[in-house]
Amino acid sequence: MRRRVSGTRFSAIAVVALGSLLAGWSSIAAGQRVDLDLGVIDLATLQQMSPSRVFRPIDMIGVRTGADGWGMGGAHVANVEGVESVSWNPAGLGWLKRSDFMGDMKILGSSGSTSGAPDSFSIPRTPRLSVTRYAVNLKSGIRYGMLGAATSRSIAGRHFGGALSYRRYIDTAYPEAILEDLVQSQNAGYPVTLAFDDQEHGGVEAATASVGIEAVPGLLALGMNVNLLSGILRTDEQLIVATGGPQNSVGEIKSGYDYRGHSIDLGLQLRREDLASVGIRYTPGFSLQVRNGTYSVQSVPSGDATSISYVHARIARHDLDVPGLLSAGGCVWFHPKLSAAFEVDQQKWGDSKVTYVQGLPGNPNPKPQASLPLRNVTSWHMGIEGRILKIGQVDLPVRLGYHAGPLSMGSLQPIGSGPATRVGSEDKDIKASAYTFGFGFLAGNVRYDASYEILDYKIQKFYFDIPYDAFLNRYSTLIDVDRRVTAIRLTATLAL
Amino acid sequence: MKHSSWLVAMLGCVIAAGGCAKQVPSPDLKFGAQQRVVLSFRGGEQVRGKIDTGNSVELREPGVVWDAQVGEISDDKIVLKDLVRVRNEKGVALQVARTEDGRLGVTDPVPDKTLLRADITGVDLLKVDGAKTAQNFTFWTYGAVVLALLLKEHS
Repeated sequence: MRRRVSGTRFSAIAVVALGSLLAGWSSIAAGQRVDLDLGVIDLATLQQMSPSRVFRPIDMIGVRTGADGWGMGGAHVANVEGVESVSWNPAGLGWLKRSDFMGDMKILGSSGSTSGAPDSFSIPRTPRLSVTRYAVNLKSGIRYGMLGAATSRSIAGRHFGGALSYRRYIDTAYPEAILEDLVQSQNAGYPVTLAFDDQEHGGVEAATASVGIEAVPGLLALGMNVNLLSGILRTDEQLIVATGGPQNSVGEIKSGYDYRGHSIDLGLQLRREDLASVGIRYTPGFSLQVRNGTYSVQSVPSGDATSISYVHARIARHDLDVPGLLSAGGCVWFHPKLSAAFEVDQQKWGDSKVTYVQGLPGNPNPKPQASLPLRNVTSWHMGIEGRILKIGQVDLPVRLGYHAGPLSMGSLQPIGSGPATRVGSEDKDIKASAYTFGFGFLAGNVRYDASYEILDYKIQKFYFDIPYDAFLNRYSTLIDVDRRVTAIRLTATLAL
Repeated sequence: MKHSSWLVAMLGCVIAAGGCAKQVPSPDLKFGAQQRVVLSFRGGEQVRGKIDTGNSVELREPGVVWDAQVGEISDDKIVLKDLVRVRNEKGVALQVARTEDGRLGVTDPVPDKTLLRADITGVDLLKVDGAKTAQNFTFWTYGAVVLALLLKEHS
């Protein structure tokens, strides 16, 4: 019983702290419910309240589907063919001489270490709490990549390939989980756990119609995708305070967007059978409509479990200029069973602008413009594939690869100090590199490919993802996160 | 909506479990009444199904596909009755004629079809292709899982 009382006391202190912080409220009286409507806010305001909603990578490169390509480190623009060409280079459809069905998905996991977290957690008039663990990881999960079908025809002496597909086009989800374990310094053993558990789903998806043509038989193929873009992003972050009592205290941060737009992808492949190939894919810049943005925070209930603050806002409707994506690469066959590929991808996210399509409070401009904390991306990819192993009469291609390049998001930094702390973007890339391994096998007319990727990078995060709080992040502490993201991709292709 | 994605996945599995058939030639042109077979005749006709009295079979003649019933079986002939034209060989549906047959009897009655056993040139036994069925089952099950993940993201 004594422990429970103690736990309740800690719960009261901790949750009032979290509750007041997250609501932006200095204090809430017992039994009071505060409902605060912020109206329309812009992304800069959102960035101050919840930096991770804005400081996140927007990814059109890592989202491409096909485990055989990722087994080779993502160097696939020059040698892709068949239905998965839709994702890498539509020109590869020009070589298709059959019908293909394809399904692709990805399993994500993350681990890592943090440094720079305070070793204690201090709340006035209470015993000091010692931090035994502070972890920030990407949430694991399983996500679809693409469903597609392709077929080929000869029309007027020309060979065509066509495809219909539905696929993830831009990855905007970036769910993270923060976990901090605390114990009383003076009364060893009684644990308190603070957890920020973010569930996210969605992204920009494309319903794509594709066509490829073998323009010069055996030598040159051209292709194009027409993408109708749609999608949602929903984030639901649970704020959990576990004190060992009968019930955890839970708060919630929610946000959401709807996406609309359209784009095209153009592709070219030059090849000399079993010798070498060159490929280029270009996606011209396009405008992505971001609508129905919402953001809300329901605080963790305070000690008597009746005091709650609820803050909600609408994120201003805006259009995001998605910069053009250029991919170029080559592939060389040293032997019919051994090939090497390389690729360079470039997308200048740093140049992208946000144009609000509605007025903002206090801004006389009817369509104000702003920038997101994004960085230009140039990534390098390379890989080899060997068909050296055999199971029975079937070749077992084995692939190794490497890729390196910055994330598209900027590194955050605090500007100012104390309650006036603002969130800024540092002029520094977040460099990432990955090793990949993959293999494939053919079972009758079905081909399976799998790849495994280990991606490492270092980022900085605000302690509890909060720029400043009197209790949780009094000194606007930044945490260094050494992150490792693992991705398993699985692709199945049925050829008829 | 929450569960629809998994329903789709399960439906996919069921469809995928439908199986694939392969034709195994019978060298001595023998077949049993309970075996699914494809009989090929000298005149180009093909009969597909179980050749037993009262069973429904498919008759393919050059240009036309019929549904029929096995009316009589003897040592020297197989008689098919109740022929209903399903489609011509190029795949154009002839539903109008079929409807007339069933509802109005406007079209002329189709005579029974007598096929001589002496004209049988080939007998193929229809068997389940286990390997192909397993391959297709695995692929379409995987595809259903991917579709379920896609739908789940939209829920």
